Order: sequence, then C-alpha cells, then structure tokens
Amino acid sequence: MGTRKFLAVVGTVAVALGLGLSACSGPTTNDAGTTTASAGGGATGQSGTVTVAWNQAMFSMNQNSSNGHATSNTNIGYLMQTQLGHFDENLNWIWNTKAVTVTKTSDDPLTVEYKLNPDMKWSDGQPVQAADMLLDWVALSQKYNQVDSSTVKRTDAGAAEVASGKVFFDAGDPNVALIKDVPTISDDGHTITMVYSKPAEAWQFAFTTFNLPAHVVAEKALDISDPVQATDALVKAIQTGDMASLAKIAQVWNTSFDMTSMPTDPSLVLSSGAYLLKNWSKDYLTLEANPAYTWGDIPKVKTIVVRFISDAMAQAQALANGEVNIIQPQATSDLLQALQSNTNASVTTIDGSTFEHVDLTFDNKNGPFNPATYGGDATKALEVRQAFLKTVPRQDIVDKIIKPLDPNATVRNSFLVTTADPNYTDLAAGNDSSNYGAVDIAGAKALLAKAGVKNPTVRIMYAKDNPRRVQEFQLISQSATQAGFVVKDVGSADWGSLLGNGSYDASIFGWQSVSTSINDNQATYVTGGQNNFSGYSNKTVDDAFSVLATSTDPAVVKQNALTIDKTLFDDGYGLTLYQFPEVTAFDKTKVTGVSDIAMAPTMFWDYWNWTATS
Amino acid sequence: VFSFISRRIAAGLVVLLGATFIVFMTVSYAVDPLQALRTSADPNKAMQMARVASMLDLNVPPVLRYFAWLGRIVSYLWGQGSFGMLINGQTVLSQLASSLPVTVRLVFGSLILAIILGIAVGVATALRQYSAFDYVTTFITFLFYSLPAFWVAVLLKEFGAIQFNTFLASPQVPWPVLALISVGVGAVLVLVVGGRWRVRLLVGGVGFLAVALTLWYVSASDWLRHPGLGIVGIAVTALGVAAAVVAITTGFENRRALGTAVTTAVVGIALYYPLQYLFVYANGWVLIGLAVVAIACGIVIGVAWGGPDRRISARTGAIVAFVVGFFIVVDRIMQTWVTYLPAVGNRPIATIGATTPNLGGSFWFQNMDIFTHLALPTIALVLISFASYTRYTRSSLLEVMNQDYIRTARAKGLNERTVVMRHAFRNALIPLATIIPMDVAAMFGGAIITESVFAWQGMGQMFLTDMHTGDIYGVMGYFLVTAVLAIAANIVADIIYAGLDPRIRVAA
Repeated sequence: MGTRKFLAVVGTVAVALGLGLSACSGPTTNDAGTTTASAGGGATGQSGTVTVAWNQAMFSMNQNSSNGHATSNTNIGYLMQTQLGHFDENLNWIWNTKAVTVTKTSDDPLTVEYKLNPDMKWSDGQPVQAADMLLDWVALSQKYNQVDSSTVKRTDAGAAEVASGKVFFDAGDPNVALIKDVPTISDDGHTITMVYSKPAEAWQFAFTTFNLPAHVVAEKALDISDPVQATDALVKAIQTGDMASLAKIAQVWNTSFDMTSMPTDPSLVLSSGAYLLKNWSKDYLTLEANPAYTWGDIPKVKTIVVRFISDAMAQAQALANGEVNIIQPQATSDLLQALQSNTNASVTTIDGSTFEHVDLTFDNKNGPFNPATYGGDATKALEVRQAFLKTVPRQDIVDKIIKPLDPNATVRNSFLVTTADPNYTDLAAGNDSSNYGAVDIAGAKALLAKAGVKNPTVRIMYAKDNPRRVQEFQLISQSATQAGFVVKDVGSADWGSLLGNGSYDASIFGWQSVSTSINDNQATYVTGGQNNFSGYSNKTVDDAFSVLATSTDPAVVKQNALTIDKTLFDDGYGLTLYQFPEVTAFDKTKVTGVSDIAMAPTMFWDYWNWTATS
Repeated sequence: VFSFISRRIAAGLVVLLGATFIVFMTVSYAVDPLQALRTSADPNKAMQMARVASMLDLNVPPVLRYFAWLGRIVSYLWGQGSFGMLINGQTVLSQLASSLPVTVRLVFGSLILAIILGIAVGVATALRQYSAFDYVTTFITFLFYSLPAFWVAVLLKEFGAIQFNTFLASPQVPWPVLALISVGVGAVLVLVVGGRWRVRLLVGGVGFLAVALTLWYVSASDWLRHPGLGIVGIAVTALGVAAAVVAITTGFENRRALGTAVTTAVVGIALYYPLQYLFVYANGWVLIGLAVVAIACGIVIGVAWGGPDRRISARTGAIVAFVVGFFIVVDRIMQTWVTYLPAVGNRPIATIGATTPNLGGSFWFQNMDIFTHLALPTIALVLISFASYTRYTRSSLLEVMNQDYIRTARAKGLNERTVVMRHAFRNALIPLATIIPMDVAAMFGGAIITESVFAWQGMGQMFLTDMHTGDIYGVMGYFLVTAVLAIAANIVADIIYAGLDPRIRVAA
C-alpha cells in the first residue's frame, strides 16, 4: 500500500534525523543574556541595585508646574536634579555648598545671591547655569502672566487655552512672587542675584532644585537649534519682557514635560544631578548613577529602580518576596503586622506630615461657638468653645487609634509646627496647649454653667468613609455628651466640599504640610485666608503673621509664631490631635542606611547613604 | 438577519446613551476631584485647584458637561473626536491604549484556563450526579467563588510566592507532606471514577503511587531547581497525549486514528532535538508559524493513514501535533529556569507587576519571566471564575442527558463515550457559547481588584485610579469601552445561539 510505505519512510527518516541530532546535546544557549552581569561598579565605586516602591507613577518632569508639583514627581526629581539644599533628620535646612554658594547680601531690601559651581552640567553636556534658575523665576513669580489661572480654559489636548501671544505660566509660589524685578545674571552666567520687594520668611525655600534645562525649553519654544544661542534668546526675552517669545516659552514649560513613559526625545528627561533616567514605563522607572556628578553628595548605589505599587499590602508582600527593598506604604495595623512578621525587614515609624485636628466654626448661623448666637457676647461663646474643647479626649484618641500603629506616638501640641520641628518643644511649652492636656468634664460643666448655656447642640462633621475619623468622632462625642453637650453626627463622605459652608459647628480632618515654613500656615489662620474654613478672625494673629512673613530673623519668626500659637489655643480655635504615623520598611539584607523624615522627600532624603549589600 | 442586527445595534446605542448619562451624572456628583487638594497646606494650592477645575470644566453643570463630552466622542464619526484629558495632562486615549494590552495579557490566559477547567469539572460532576465527588466539587467551587479577591490574592502571595520561593532554596518535599498529597489525590480519584469498588480502589491506588513516586523523584533529583522534560519526558508525554486524545475523541477501536496519533507523536519526539536549533531564532511569530506547521503535519499524517473517515484521523493528528508541540515549547521555557533563578535572586514567583525590571535575556527567558509574573494572578482569577462554568456545564449537560434522543442513541447500541462526547456534550455546549462572548467582553474591563493587588497597570487599575483622582473623563473612557464591548458581545451571543441551535430564529 502506497500510504503505508510513505508513512514508513516518513517515520524512519524522522526518527533517524532525531537520533542523529540527539548525539549532539542541542545548541548552547545564553538565555540570561549579558545584561544581568553588569555589577562590578563604576569608576566611582558605585554598585548594586536598590528597588523602591512608590504608590503612584511619575507623570511629569516639571516639578514646579501646578500639574507636576506632586511627590510622585518631586521624589524622582530629588534623585535626578541637583538640589540647592535639603532638610536633614532634624528638619534643619542644609545648603548643598558643592553646587551653590547662597549668600544673603542684604536684609533691606532682602537680596540673595546664588553663585553656582561652574562645573555643573546637564546630562547632555550643557552647563547648569543661572539661566536655568531665571526660567524658574519667570514661571513661579508669574511676573509676566497675562491670564489669571482661575479663568483659564483648557484645550482638549490639556494645554492652557490662551489667546496667542498671551503669557501664561501654569505655576506660582508666594515667596518667588515677592521678587518683582528681573534677577540679574553675572557675565559668566553662573551667578544670579534675587532682590525681594518685601522680606520673605521662607526665602530659603524659594529655589530648591534645578528643575528644567533652560536651553532645552528655549530650543523647543524659540526654534533655535544651538543651545548657547537658545539660552541667550531666552534670557533676553525674560530681561526685555518679550511677550511673544515668553508666550511660546510658557507653552513649552507648561506641558512639554508632562508624560508617563520614556519619551523618544532624550532632551526632555535631562538630569543635572546624581542619577540619570534610564527607562520609564507605567510599571517602573530606572535611575542609574550619573558618572559626571561631583557637585553634591555622591550616592553609593549604582542603580535605583522605582516600582509603582498602589496597594499597601502588595508593597509589604513584595518586600517579603524580595521584589522591592524599600517601601513606605499607608500605615494600617494589618500592614504593620505583616511587616513585623518579616524578619528581614527593618521598620521605622515617625510622625508624618499630615496632622489631624478639631476645628470649631466661628461664623455659622446659630452656631454654639459663634458670638452672634449670644447677641455678640464674645466671652460667652469663648466659654462654650473652651468647655467643648476640654472634653476632647486627645490622649485617649492617640492611645486607641494611633498607638497601635506607632507605640511612641504623642499628642501634637502646636498648630504651626510639626513634632519634629526644631521649634516644636519651645512652642508647645509656651502656647497654653497644657490647658487641654487632660479631659476635664467637671471644668467643662463649670464653664457651661458660667456661660449660662444649657445643653448646646454641636454638629460635628468628618469623613464618614474614613474609619479612623469615625472612631475619633465616637470618642469625642461620648466625652462631650458627659459634659452636657448634645452631639449631632453630620459626618459625610463629601466632607471636602462641605468645608467652610457653615453646616457644621466642629470638624475633624487633617492638614498636609509641605514645608517647615511657618508662613505656610497663614492661609489657615488669618482673617479671610483661603484655608480658613472656621471663619476665625483675630487681629493679634493677623498682625503676627504679617510681621513673621516679612522677617528673615529666626528669633523674630519664633517669637511671633509663639504669639500666634498661644492666641489660637487661648481663643479656643480648636485642638490639634496628632500627626499621622509614616511607616518606612526596608529589607536589611539588601540595603542599609535608609531613614525617614517628616517632610518631602521623606525616605529619599539621604539616598546617598543607601548601600546595596547584595 | 441584517434587520435583526441593525435593530439590535440601534437598541444598543440607546442603552449606551442612557448608561453613559447615568454614569456621568453619578460620578460627577459622587466624586470630588478637588478632595486631595482641599486639605493641602501648599502655598500654591489655589493655582492647583484652579487648574483641576478648568481641566475638568468643574464650573459647568454636569448635564452640560455630559453633552460636551458626548459631542467630542461623536466627533470621532468625522475623525475629530477626543476621549478628553486626565488631570495629570495625559490623554484618556493614550491611557486606554496602554492599559488594554496589559489587561488582555493578564486575563486572557486565565479565561481560557477557567473555561477548559470549568467545562471538564462540569462534565465530570454531571456524569457523577449526586455522588460524593459531585457534592465535594460543588462545595469547593462555590467556596472559591465566594472568596473575596483581595484575600485570595494575599493568601496566594504568602503561600504561593513568599513561602514557595523560600522552599525552592532546597526543594525537598517532607515525607508527611508527600504522604498527605498522594493520599489526597488517590482519594479524589476513588471518588471521581465511580463504578465498582474494586475498579475505584485500583485506580485510586495507582494514582496514589504515581503521585508519590513523582513527588519523591522531584525531591530526590532536585527537579524544581533543574526542571525540564528532556527527550524522555517528551516521549512519555507525547505518547500519553496520543493515547488520551484517541480515547476521548474516537476510541481505540478506530485503528487508523490510533495510528495517526502515534505516528504524529513519534514525529514530534523525533523533531525534539532539531527544534532546539530552530528555537534559537524564535519569537512570537515564529512560534505561531510553528503551531500552524505542526497542525498541518498532523492533518497530513491523518490523511496519509487514509480510510473512509480520514477527516477524523486528520483531526486527531492535528490535536496531537498541537499538544505535543505545546509540551516541547514548555520544555524549552523550562530550560531557562537554571539561569532565571540567579537572575531574580532565587525568588522566581513574583507577587507584583508584569515583568522584572531591566531583565533582558532571550525570548524564552523573557517568557519565563512573564509566566512567573502571571502565575499568581492567573490562579486567583481562575479560582474565582471557574465555578460559574462548572455550574453551567453541569446543568446543561444534565438537561441534555435526560432527553429522548440520548435514550435513542443508547438504545441503538452506541457506547457511552460516543453518547456523551458526540451526542450530549456538543449540545450541552450551546448555552456556554452564549456566555463566553460576554465573558470575553467583560475581560477587557479588567479584573479591578486583582490588577490593583498584583500591581498590573491594566484597565481595572486605570478605572480605580481615575475614580480615586476624580478623573471623570478617564472613568467615562473606561466605561465607554467596556459598555460598547458588552453590547456587542450580547449581539454576537444572540447570533451564535441562532447559528448553533436550529430551533431559534433571529428574524423573530
């Protein structure tokens, strides 16, 4: 039969072929490739890889635009761009003297000179120079902005829709805005002098990082290919107020550096600092030590991978499985338990930058804390406020809600500064916060009796979808009821948009601080301030803030801060509760030298001390 | 049929319009995009809030915003449409484009696995209705079905990754564990097989021995650190596959089919070493090409065996060729294990992400990395979703088995395999054919919790993130894609049903 023969032939040939080839043992393969064997260290002795988890992906290279100014971008910026200075573990500000010499040359008018190290270079070889700071100044000062940010429309492509030729930098900083005159640049282009129209308390924080390369922005905006000419044109446009050019510069500055993965154009991701961006995707990004970097603390780790993991428990398990080495997830007791069962993990907990507080409303209709309710009797309202605040079980709240996360947690006793701040101890000691040290039901009853107010109703508003705040509400409500207050639960998941609308008498929520500047608190406590949801108004506080804001003398600042803090406690503005714990964990078999501070960039703050151990 | 489809599409569009409107309104009123900024003490806060407000047109009432959004979507008809922007300055379209492939990669495999596993278990339970096996399986599938996804994920990571990776450092299966697993498998077999007790015990005993020996071999040979099938493993597997395929599809009495299967298996074994050389140049397309060539070879061998029913032989050959080829590929990927272990610090099973950052390596090496990352999320998804397939298959097969024509088939003397596989099973699959399109459509919506817990940046994660930040256009983009697919799947399911079941007519 034909088919049978055919099959026999096919079979024999195939088997023979197979057996013949099986004599040799198959091709030699190099599956792993050569990429993984790149250890051994660079010229500077940097070695190893450290993988860090962060809960959100980076989405912009521009750390100063109102879009890009978020920790997921600024943390990476901290590793990639030269910092003019940084906070240390005691929250003192340390200048990076290898990169810049900062001199306050005059107090009146406040004049600050930044002398840059001429060796500094962007990763494309162009110098880091005063023009880069000038570009940040023109953006943050809003000096030339012709469109108000609250009225600006956006196109479908997300860009600010401004009439052609109109200038709109999508950024702002109150300190930089005080520099009204165009800063002067020295002839060599490495020194820039800023003159403030009014002294600024937080002038150190006006410029902290080299953000974007001016020559790249200029090349793209002004269509000049030579970097030197482009930079000169940009400086000239700023100095002469050339609106047509500035409008184009602003457009590029606002949006060209927003992206979520590695761009095809490498000039959009230039580095001026310790690390170069190697790749960047939705899952992770990779930084590699910049071999040219000499103007700052030199890192020991060659490669840092930042993986984006939103789920806190996933971060803890990835740490246990060796996929990441450093994590800083949102703290919960489940998470801490998971971390404690991991014997390789070193866990530290500090007071983070979010602080929880109770605010009382001063200006709502018929509110128990509003003097107008008692026919303008301010003393009566004050006594009711004080009575209520005396019932707030602050220690109990910390013990029951925060101690499980951080056994060393304490009640925060200042409205203005964090517990880690150098001024905290002095402020807490002198600001009358001790009046509310312990729950005093009898005292509260006495105050209510003195005021002649019987069983006042207090509507308390809080985030109903946040179990922690629900628990805080319950503790406060139980205690206040004992003193004769009638507590009404007006908690809501929509609490954020209800703030300041007068529908509640007390609120429980958290503020997130971004710097140690005491003046940052101004918007919360001055009359009519943007964050003043309580309707609070006190001339002493307003005056002290206006003195403090324009003072560069730390002693004056501290004195006024004490006045403000004391007045707030005496006035029964509300009460501070605690700072939410921030948990950092790292795998001590893989990396050492990791620590954490309360301010951004938190655990990244001393990345140059990190050492990869395997 | 045409008028049916056009009517269904029109109805679908109306549903879509209503659904998008409702979702847009609910999200607009429920989610506050400024929430995070409200409690910020950033001096730049006012600008950031202004930016978000203008970005999302928060000053315009939601109803008008909805129609503006709809207008932009409809503009796609003349090529000028837009899905809108996210707060962070990215387009929704680019986000969708990068999320969809990730989701497909994550969910596709688990969907296929869940269907195959679900149908197999469903058939087994239907054939052993009201047996101990039926009850135990039902209990277990429902248990998995009702478990919360995040909890399953956390447990899987703890035992499937963290502890398993530690175990891999010196992979010795302890004697008590070995005994427990073998006895367990034996017991399950005793329950599944059914029939006379002597047969059941015999099958259970063989299963117990086979598992015990395998585990012992795995321990003793350090197989988990140097896995692979090798030429011997491939030979045994290939012949086993040939036997199994013949047993299920045609029965051993069809000598030509049996011959085809064995010939195909032998050719596959013979090609094992030559293929290793070809694999050096492999990529995804080469692999697909090889699969096609393998199937063609199987068909040719079947046809060559000839006979009146050469189509059946050809089919058998194709199936055997594909499965054997699959095992050769699996073996090739396993060969990378030895180099893969040190590259990932000897902790191969991953708990997060789709790949190991900056890994590099050959095509096979990267595939190994993909599989180690897919392993846990796939198990999680299969455990949760296969219960429904089990139940559908079971009830549908039971219904068919009780019909008259099955009794007729038995009465005319067909053996049980033919009755079940050819007469009952095919008809039992018809209801499933209408469920699968919808599950495929739902697949593109992503597995929201699984993606989030395993840190896959897919559709579900995109939905969660956008919901969290209040990016309404992102949420709407997600919803639009999933809703359109769901409606399309419904129409497709109706058409398939009509095509498969002559009792149904679509013109009605």
